[in-house]
Amino acid sequence: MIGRIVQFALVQRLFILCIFLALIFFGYRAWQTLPVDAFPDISPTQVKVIMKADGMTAEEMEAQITQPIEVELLGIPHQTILRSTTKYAITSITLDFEEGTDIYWARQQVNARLAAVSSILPSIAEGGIAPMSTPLSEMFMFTIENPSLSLQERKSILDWEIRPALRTVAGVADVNVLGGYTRTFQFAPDIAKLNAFEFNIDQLSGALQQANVNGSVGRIKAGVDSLVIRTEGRATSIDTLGDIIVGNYQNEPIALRQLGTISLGSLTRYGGVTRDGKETTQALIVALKDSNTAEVVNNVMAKLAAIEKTLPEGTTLEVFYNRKTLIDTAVGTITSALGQAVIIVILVLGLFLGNVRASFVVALVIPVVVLLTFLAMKVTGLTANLMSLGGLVIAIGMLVDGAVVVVENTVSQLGKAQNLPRLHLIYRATRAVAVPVIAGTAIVIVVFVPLLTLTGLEGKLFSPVAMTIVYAMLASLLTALTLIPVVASYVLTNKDGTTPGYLTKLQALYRHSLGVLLAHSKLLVAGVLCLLLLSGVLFGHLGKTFMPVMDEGDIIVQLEKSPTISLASSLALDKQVELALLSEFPEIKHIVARTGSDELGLDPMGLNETDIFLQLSPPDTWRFKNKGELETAIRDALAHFPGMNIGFTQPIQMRVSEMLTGTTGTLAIKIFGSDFTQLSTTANEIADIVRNQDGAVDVTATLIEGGDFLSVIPKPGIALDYGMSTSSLSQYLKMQVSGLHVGDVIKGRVRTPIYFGDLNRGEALFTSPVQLKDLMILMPNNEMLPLSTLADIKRTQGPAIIEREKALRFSVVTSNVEGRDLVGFVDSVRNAVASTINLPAGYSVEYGGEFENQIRASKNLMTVIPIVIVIIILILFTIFGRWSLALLILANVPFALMGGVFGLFVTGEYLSVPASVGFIALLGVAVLNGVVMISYYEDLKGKAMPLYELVKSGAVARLRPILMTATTAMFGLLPLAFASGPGAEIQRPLAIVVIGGLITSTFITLYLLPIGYYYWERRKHA
Amino acid sequence: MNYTTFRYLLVLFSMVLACDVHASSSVSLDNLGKLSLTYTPINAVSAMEKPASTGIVKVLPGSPLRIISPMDPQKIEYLVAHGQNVKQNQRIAMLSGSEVHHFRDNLAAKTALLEITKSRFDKNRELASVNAISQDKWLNIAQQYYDAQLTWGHLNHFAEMFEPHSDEDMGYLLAPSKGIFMLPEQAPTDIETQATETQLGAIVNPNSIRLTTLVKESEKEFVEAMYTDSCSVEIEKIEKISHRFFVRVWSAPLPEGCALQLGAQVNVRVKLSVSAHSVPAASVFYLHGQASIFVRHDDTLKAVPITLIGNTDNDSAVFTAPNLANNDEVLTSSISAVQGILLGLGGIE
Repeated sequence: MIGRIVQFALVQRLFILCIFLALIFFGYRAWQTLPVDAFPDISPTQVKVIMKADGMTAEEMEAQITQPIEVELLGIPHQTILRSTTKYAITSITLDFEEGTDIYWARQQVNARLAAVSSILPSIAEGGIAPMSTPLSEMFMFTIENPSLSLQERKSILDWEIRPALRTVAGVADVNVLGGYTRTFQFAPDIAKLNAFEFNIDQLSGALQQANVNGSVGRIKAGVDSLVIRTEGRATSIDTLGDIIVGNYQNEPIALRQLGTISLGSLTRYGGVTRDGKETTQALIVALKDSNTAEVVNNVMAKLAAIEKTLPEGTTLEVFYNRKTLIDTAVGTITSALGQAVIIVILVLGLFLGNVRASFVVALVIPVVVLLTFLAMKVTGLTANLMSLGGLVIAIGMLVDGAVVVVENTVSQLGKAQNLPRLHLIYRATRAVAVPVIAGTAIVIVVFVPLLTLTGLEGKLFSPVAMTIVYAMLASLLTALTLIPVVASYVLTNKDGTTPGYLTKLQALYRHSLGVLLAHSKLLVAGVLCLLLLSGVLFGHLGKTFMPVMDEGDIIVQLEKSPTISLASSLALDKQVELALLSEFPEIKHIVARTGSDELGLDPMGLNETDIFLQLSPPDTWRFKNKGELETAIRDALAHFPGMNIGFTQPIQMRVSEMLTGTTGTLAIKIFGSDFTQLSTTANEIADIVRNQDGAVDVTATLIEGGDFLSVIPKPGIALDYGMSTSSLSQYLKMQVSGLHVGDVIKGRVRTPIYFGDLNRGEALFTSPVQLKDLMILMPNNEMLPLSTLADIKRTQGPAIIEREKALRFSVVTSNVEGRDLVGFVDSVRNAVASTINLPAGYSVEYGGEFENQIRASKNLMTVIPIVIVIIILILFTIFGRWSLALLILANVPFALMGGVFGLFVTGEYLSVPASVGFIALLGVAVLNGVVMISYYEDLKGKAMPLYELVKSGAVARLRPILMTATTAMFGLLPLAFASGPGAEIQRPLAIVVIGGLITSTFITLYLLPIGYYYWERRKHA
Repeated sequence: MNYTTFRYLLVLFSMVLACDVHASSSVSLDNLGKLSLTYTPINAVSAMEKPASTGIVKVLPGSPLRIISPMDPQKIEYLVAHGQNVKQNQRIAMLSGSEVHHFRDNLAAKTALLEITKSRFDKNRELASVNAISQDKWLNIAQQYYDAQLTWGHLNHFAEMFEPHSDEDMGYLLAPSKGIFMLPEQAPTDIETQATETQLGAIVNPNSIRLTTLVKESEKEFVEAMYTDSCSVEIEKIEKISHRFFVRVWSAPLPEGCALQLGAQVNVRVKLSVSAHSVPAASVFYLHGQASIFVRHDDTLKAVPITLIGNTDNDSAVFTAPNLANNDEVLTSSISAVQGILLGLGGIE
């Protein structure tokens, strides 16, 4: 079969060339059109439900909205987790589904359940399923700047000009608008006039709602035509709104304007945005799940460029986050590493092969395989990202191996100048090495295929790596057995089979050293075993982490302030921090800070929470060596702003953390229970324990308590006497505090809500509980009473935030870890908590965050690696037919891993998932080298040489291919090991492990393996 | 445990408690880093405003001069508007109809009758003094005279406000005094008219037009003045009868330019006399549910509990608190951050 393929290729050379040209063309097209992103899509199938209810406390939201919805959603099949966060006026319920669950099916299920429960929700509850995005969908953010426009005007532009336009861009799920003021038509009832005209608020709002409508009537036949009839009552402007007749008094019609003041107002705000210490408005573009982020960003930018020309003069859109920048930088880092790897590998090949023609033929395989891999990625729907392209870089050094073996043998066969046709010689040469080439490729593929079994975040991250390597190796095999012989037949001559002089000298040196070590083999074995032991010791001291933090190039500072803080005070503190940072750090170009909730509710932060986005100048202008140093300096500067919890993160890192645990932080300790006070107390106790651990940074305990409420409890006797119900009183107070939505004025596409209430920029006019007590209430019988007469007003405390998971309340303590391995950190926290905290019955503690993923990843890898080893043994047995040789080759593996451990230790890198993947890759390369050596020994056996000579000659003969295999793999990874751009952090541990492992593995293959073979064979024959 | 030991322990416990409270409610300025700290002195406040029930511009009860007619004219054509200022003897209405004619005839008849009865009375007075006529007869003559005089006087009082028209069925009603004219249906009706009389209107003295509103029982002692959007006016009368939860207060006469018309219903705020302090409203925060302010003492900020009693306007909070002196400095910026410190927030680990 294999022979027929090679034969067909050499017989149909032109056809093969045409086929490959076509494949190259399509591969190039695929590269041009591949969806590009920084990360693979790491989100699970996730559906988010966001519900809002104006003015409701967290406890009420939980009781009336969150709980009923959760109960209904709990029954949906294939869900893995159901969690919710309930705050003042908003609840966010998140459902994660099993891997592979269709997102549209999941959304449909959630929708159906929501519809079923909607009838028991309070009438003021509004919301539903959030846009179909992922936590990483926030891909483009900008503020709208124009000093001559008010915040209300800016928001209006965002709401009614920019948002509708951007939503037409393919791949945009929604545009989240933050900050500014939403314009309303505000009717401030004059209580004296209402009293005089004998109106009450319920009557008035009912009358307005009935009057402010356009009714549809129907159609009449008018001659041969038909005329559509409608009724028109809807106001179209603030003037016509005032003219609406809302009733009559003593037979006189009363217009709305006669009963109060109509003015432009603002909705009550749940958040704000500041830029460089001044308030502004911001838009955040959310990409649709599975969209091509780079393409969407490009289209958004094109659309914005078109819109910007139509905006009022002096208006600019200041982009402060563009995912495309990260994509370009990360992909640039990796493509640069790829380019460097290609050049280095070609140089290494040239160095070892010693002739230009042979080097050209082998080097040809790299671009061809790369393009074929892109084609395979395109066909199978893989995106070009940090991980998939990283896989290609890892594969570069290995994908030339097959071609090297084929070309080297071809050169050798041609060099012998046998009296046979050239094509036949090439066929024989290719045919002869086909099995080892296939076996080698199979070993590499086998090594990486198990990575596809990884689950969770690590699975989503490393599947593309494994897939790309598998594609590249298959493409390299195909190329080595078809294209390479064809090209070799055109390019190689019979004189290409000479060995370069330096290599001859190297071979002589190797022959001598091998002889010496064969004579002192016990010393060598002892030394190597000592090193192995040392590596074992060092392994125990290696830091462990789940995933290296990718430097996204951006810094987000998270502030958590007093839970009862007002929006104005919160923004004032933000401004202080912003101005201080701007003045102290020229590295910060601009600062955009977002406080409170966004409009869509995708990230329902409280008024006390702020994400400060630092827009940094290019790193080459910094006073600091790297971002780490800059971050430390900012930490120091922020230490001068006490009274706030301060944390550091990055845009994607923040969302990934939230996606994994529902909270940010490397370690998330969840305390499950029912009583808020107990949950809060335990959380604070645990937070104190965590703070005392070495390496703990940014430790925060969720502030469950701290929500301050004024409970207005009607006095039943008086309320009944005056005919005032709790619901009516609540409506009345709502009008005074946050406004009462009674309708809309629609003009073109602009819909302006009509609110009853006398508010100042969305805020109640009174500023203290005493004023609330003195508030005059217009009773249904038209009398007036101060609120304190009608009701008891008590100050009470309750939860500001309620977190739930699987329908249970929990509090959470989060922490990041610095300068210490995560697993060790968690172990010490676990022990300290277990020995210090006495949990009451019904309470439990769970440890989550990245730590959880590391445990899962370790378990998966510990299952996968033995399976890989068994498969490798089976392949080796298939090749050699002897278990002993298979085990001898496999004995090389621990020494290869030893190099990886040394590499990590020397460079200070932690043992992480990428490093573990590096160890898996090492398995393949180490075994491959052994196969090259042992298979040659087995071939030489037929030449009846003395064993000692066979071992030495064989080893010397395989020096070049082993060095080539090792050095191409090693040097191919060097650019990754030294890369410094965003994204390099993830691939670096992998590259270091492989490079370190290859150094020791190559040494072992060149010295210990021949010695082992020698003693094994000698004992066998003895 | 003897009493001395118990007392010693009690004092010790109080000291520990006091130290603990102090420790948990004070922050050293040295710990506030680069937070922007601004202060403002505490001000003394002697009065503050509060919203009241709706105010109404009314006439003090009993003060209007009612125009009572002994007839009920078929037609009354008012020549002045309701609420218009009128001068004395200004024509305010044209009365017409047979009743006017009857009134005029009646007046003429009663005048003639009065003259007859007066003549007879005068003639018989001397006779009666010398007992020339019987006592019964004299008593009858005198009774007739006084009845005629009373009847005439009653008609004549109205006739003084009546200017006859050339047409017998018509006549003008004249203003009995200067003041504000009020239509009969709008005029105060706290004194009932007799069945034979008709109220044609009333004249109100401008000084008796007042602003009145209801204030809470608990606040009546402290009410000093009333405010509307257009004017402020002192309180003159506080009624001694409660209207459920309220007491009615009456203003002094409305000053010139007050722009409050009789009958107007307006939103009213009342001025209460207090002995309190004021600080910017934005300097008040809540610590464990208690309204507090941060008062600066040397190098320390101390959270001082206060009792809020109102606002002088939307930007100032009025409160009482023991042991606070005017001009003590109160923190007006970065309050939430300092509050955060007391709540255990802050710092970068």
